[in-house]
Amino acid sequence: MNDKDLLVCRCEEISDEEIREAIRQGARTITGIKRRTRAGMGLCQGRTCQRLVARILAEETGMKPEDIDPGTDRPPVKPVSFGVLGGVAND
Amino acid sequence: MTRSADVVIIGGGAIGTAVTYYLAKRNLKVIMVEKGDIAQGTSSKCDGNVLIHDKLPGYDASLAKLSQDMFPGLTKEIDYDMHWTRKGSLLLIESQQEMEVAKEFCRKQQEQGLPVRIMDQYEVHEDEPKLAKDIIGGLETQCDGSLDPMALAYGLTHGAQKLGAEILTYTSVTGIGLNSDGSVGKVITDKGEILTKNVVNAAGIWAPEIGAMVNLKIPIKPRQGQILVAERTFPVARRKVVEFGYLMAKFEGDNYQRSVPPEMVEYGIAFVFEPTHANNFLIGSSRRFVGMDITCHNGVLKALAQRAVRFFPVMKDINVIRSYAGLRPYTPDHMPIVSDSEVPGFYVAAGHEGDGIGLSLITGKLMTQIICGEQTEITIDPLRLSRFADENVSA
Amino acid sequence: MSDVIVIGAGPAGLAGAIACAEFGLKVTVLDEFFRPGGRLLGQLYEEPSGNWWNGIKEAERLQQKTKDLAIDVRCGVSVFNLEKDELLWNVHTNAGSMKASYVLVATGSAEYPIPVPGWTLPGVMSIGAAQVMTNVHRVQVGKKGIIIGANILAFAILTELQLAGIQVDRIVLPEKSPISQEAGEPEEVLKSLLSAAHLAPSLLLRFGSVFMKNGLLRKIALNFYPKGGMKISGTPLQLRKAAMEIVGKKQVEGVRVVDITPNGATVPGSDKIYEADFVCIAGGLYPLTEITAVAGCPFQFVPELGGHIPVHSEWMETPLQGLFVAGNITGIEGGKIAMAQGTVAGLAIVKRSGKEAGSIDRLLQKSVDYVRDVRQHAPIQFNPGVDEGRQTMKELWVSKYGKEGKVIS
Repeated sequence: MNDKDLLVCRCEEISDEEIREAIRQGARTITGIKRRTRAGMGLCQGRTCQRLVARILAEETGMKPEDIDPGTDRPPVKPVSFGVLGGVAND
Repeated sequence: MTRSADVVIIGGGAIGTAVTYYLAKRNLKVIMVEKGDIAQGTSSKCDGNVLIHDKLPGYDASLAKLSQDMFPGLTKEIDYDMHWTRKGSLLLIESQQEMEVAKEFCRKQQEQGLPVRIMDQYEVHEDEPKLAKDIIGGLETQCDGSLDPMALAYGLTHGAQKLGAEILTYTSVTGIGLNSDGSVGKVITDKGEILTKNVVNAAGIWAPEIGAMVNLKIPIKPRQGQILVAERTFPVARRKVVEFGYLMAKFEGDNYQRSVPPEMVEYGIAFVFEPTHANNFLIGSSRRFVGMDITCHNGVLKALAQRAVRFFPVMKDINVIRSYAGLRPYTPDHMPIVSDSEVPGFYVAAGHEGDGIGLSLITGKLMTQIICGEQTEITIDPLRLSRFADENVSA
Repeated sequence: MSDVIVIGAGPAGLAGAIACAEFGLKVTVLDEFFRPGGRLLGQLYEEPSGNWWNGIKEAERLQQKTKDLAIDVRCGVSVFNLEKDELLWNVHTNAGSMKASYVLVATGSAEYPIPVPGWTLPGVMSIGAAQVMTNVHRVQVGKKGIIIGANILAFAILTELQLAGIQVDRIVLPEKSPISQEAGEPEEVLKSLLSAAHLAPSLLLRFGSVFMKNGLLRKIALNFYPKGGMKISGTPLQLRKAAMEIVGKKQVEGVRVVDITPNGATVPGSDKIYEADFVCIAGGLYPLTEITAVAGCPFQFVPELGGHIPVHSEWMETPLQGLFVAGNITGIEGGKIAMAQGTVAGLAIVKRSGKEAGSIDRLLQKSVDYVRDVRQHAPIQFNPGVDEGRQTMKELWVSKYGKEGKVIS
């Protein structure tokens, strides 16, 4: 196995190489990489891979860690069922 | 650095990239300028609808169908997976009153040659077994499709670049320079000037700002829509599913009221289910005027979830993993602007509200025909900016 | 309705809740885990003083206090959204929505991994997951394991695994890469370990730590670092070996390991597979801040504190009125500091509520000083630059929002 196949986003099964390809296509933010690859769009919403993606972005572009936008957190910050969210869980 | 181009397109969303692509196909020298990343605005905060089922029979439906029929070809001609599928769509009918209107709607669309049909109670449940049992029927539109809206914009960009288009991302337009005769002369950006005679304003909700640079009023307002993202799960339904009652409320105006809790009306909630290529689904929709705010309001999220469980009770136990909000470019008459303007060389392709993805391709094609001085595929009279001239617009 | 809702029943949250309740505020504590204690539940180690720090006991002590003070502690409740209406904070949970004037967010930290080829195989887990399974659930994670990543967290948890009778075969580094960064460089790893030498009671690490602060001596030490590693209560720490791949068909069967030079370069042809039925990856901790982000709190990137941190004052107050933070969400540090910070946040809430006019200013100042005091004597320093990180945040606050005590809105 080589680095190209190394999975970075486990939820969506996105490899190191796919993330680098997204950067080559013009992604300059974690969100831009997410939109091109789905890395961070899965169940854990990037909790596992976001820092790893940031490091790859820094390496590929020479950006400084402090200049990398961490992306936007949106509710729900934990998975919640439609029933609970809608207030109809026990109907 | 000073560049020059035949046409400069402002905006890198679904509309801007489509216009860029179709212009590039004509061997014109085109430059697209985007202040952020491709698909950073509305095009990444929406769903991937390519629908005719919500279009009134007549011009609306014709325009949507022309655009829709361009997708299969485009997704073949560009080497980029846009996850295009054409599984059809289903409007859910909740009452006899809705059924009557749906039948008439269906008849008119059929007259126009569109592949639509009414499904009765038995058939609709046979076809979508997870539907709430009290749904009495459906209106099926077989040709409706969907794709990944971000992939559409990336794909069109990729295609345009291959044809020689220049794409300038993270570049902001700060002004538009006019010649002494009042025609477009150049586009001024924070990274230099671009000499050009033609500018297409495809800036979506920011189109009024660009318009103001040449003293044009463009009556577009941002209207917020929130969407819930579900976890990956078993298939809940086979295709796009939407509640018909909302369309009815839209078409019939004061003559029809849905029997829904008041917050559904307040937030403009209409149940929309979209399965995605990633084997999860998106749930919409809401419509609110909240300025440029793209935070998700919990009350809206709650109403969306409640409405979803009403149509698919099985969703009760499926998880929502995220929500997002986008700003749709709303126009007063719900029709987009695809038009020239009183400023020679200044064109507008914006204001598609919730139809930007579906109408992107026909918009790209029409704008190309307008700029090249050709006969347009379909009349653009209902799309002209000048239709708002008499209105007291607040841009 | 409660006056205060505390999100997270770890050391910071419980201490904050107790401080509030001691001054008569009505407090509800929410935690998604089935029992209170947070990261305390996993902690068991010997301090330099020779005393044992037993997190579970500490959690029980705090829990007893919450009972005495009639604090409503609700476990199994996860918060998915936080927003403010005109007056009150709305805390949306899987058990319904609730409102309060004050919210203390003490959500702690989460682990980040270092991806190694094969890390998605069953049997691979984060070091923290192994800790929780061992200490909380009393489940045996495996018979023979290998830890990839040599950091403070891994060392602390190693001791716990050993106490539970689990054999940890060896600790190796991850392969040096842009993702693993300094975690794959023996010299950097050695440097970071010295701040917790007592947790690695080997001769070199314990008695050599003073000398080892010298870079040259570190290099020499690494050049002569024994091939078999130095033993940490029985488990070899192999700073000159890196994991290249976790191997196994359906689950973990072993780790392919290669020799590395002091700066992390691999030695060709030195591959060897070590058998194991479980693998722990020890990346590190980062602050779990999402709840403050959706509430609209501004952030600042402070690498010494673990990344993007909600902006806060020394009183643990955020720029959003009524919203407070404490514990690892404000920077990665140990449990005792989290508790001290929780007390500060609790007292600051008491002050803002106007419940106690007289002595509160003095108590608050004392509690702020106490945090510094605890930090100075902390046995574990997750990041050697934590003081500078705290200073950065303090200066940012003062420059943007003025001195503590000013009422903000």
